[in-house]
Amino acid sequence: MSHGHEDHSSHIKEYWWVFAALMFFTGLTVAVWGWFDFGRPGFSAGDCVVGLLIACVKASLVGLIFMHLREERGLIYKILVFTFYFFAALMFLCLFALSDPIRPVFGVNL
Amino acid sequence: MEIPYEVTPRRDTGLFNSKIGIWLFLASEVMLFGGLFSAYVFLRVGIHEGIDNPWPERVQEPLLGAVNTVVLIASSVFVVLAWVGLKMRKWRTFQIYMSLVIGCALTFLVIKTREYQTKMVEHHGINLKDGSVIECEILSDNAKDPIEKRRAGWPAGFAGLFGHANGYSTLKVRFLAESVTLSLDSASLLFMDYAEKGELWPASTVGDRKIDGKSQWEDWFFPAKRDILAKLSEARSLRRDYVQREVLGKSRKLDQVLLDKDLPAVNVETKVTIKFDKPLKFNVPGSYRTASHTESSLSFVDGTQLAGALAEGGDMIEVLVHGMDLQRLPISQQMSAKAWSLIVDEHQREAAKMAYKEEQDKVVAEIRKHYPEGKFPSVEEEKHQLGSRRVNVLHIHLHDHADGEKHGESQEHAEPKKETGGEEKDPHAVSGGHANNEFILARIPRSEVLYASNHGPWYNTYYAIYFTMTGLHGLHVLGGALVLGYMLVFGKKLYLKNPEHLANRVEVGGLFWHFVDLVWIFLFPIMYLM
Repeated sequence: MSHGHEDHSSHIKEYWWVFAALMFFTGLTVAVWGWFDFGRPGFSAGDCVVGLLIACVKASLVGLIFMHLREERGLIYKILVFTFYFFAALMFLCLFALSDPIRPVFGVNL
Repeated sequence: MEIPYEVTPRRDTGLFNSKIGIWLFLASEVMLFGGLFSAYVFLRVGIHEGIDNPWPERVQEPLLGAVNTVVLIASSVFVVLAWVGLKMRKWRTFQIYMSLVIGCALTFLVIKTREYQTKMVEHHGINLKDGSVIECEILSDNAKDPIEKRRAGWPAGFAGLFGHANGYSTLKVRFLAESVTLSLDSASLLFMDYAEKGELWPASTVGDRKIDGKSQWEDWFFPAKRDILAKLSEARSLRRDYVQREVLGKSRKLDQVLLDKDLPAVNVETKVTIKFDKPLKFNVPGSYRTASHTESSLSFVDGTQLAGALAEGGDMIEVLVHGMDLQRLPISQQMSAKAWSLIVDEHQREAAKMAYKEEQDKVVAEIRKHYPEGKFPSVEEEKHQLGSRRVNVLHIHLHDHADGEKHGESQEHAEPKKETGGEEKDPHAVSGGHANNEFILARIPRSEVLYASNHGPWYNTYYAIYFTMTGLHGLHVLGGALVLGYMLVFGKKLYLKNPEHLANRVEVGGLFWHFVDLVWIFLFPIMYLM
């Protein structure tokens, strides 16, 4: 990134807008906790999906704007593609546990 | 030595070197936190088969977590503005924004510490044998009345930040022992660690021998242990030799050989009883991991057994109740849970039960909507069908309801108010009726307790993963603040020499800082809201 001085100053407003958006989404996350209920009352898969989606939007904003990923060099994207791939694999790793033949140690659920 | 491409980009990559470096580092950091997030999913998915079922959902007040989210996001903006300041060659702007970043980092860490402290000092969970859990604050048992007791609990409570022991510090079984029986082959003298101070290694009698003081105890114990172990070894070797001779030499079957009358037995008496000349006081952590006890005996996990009697009051835990967690009981049994009967004041008990019932009715009505007519689970199914899904709605804070006149005004964290008038207060009066019921006092017999602890990482799986992830994240915040703080304090020299170089450093430090923010963006909903 080789921006001129004027270029940088023009970004300042954008950074504050992103800040405002992030605040809004944080408020929305808490609202999902407190007021809206997706699916069953209390916590449910619906809340989980909505909560994580909001987190993803926030993360994208931080990544694209604050970390300058929208105007980054190709090499960084290559690093990130690999990271994403392995991260996803790591997340799915625990799914193998579901096919674990070992049954509950205590025999019954409490 | 001049390090190349610190300021200008390399032609092939188009980037200065430290930027590639930080992105590779962040990639490894993603894997580090990814592993922990994966562990979280694993634990949560598997919870239905574990002892911690159901998963404690939404057990934390989200306010502090939300404030910390705001603080970190603000710091992310400040760090990028500090970098812009450098790019525009405005040192003062850089200084202001970077100071704000450090301020945010410190605020975050202070809030986090406060959260940890609350969990480890003020919040305890007493799991009763019938499955109900009393969420409470355990009172120190050295002070006279509950207000003093609560305050007196603090200094001891701080120890909880540094170790496991605090969870049980006021949960000790107090026992007056007349004798101790231990197995010399397996036991040690570690039980003596739990004797009250000043009463260590007392005058005692083992068989006909008198022992008094640590050196005499040890002079007796270690040779006696060696002697027993030698006898055991000899007896076992005789037996082994016999078996080998018969099985290998005479090709007999092992199970037949073991029935032989001639088979040498290992009859070595390893147990020995030590009588204390006068009863010895013990304070033993009342955890099933350490010891179990009856009215007249107290056993340690290595088999050492004290005989005597429970000291007066040693079997009762006094607590200030925060709430009841009855999710492990079927809804139909929740109102008759043991936990209710332990609330000392009858009015408070009834008021709390009424408030709970009110809440429970709402929940049941709500859940019924999700089942077709006639398909509502039976009592047997209910425990699993509903219990595991209904957590915090049933986990009410009694402080909000018990008074009956203070609905909606949370007093959970309210500082207890001391009565004016200077009268010596009866501990029972604190919870005596509606007039002055800041507290709901409960007295819990230890015999009812399955497991009790503060809400440290050892309390359950949720707190284990919560402390692991937020703790690691907190260390990242600290590390990032140190690096950025270094640039703020010592950066001027480099700025004057080559401002672009400092800007690049701040950009790299800033990328790490944004990553720390990103992790928190996911940790917040996962740990506080789900």
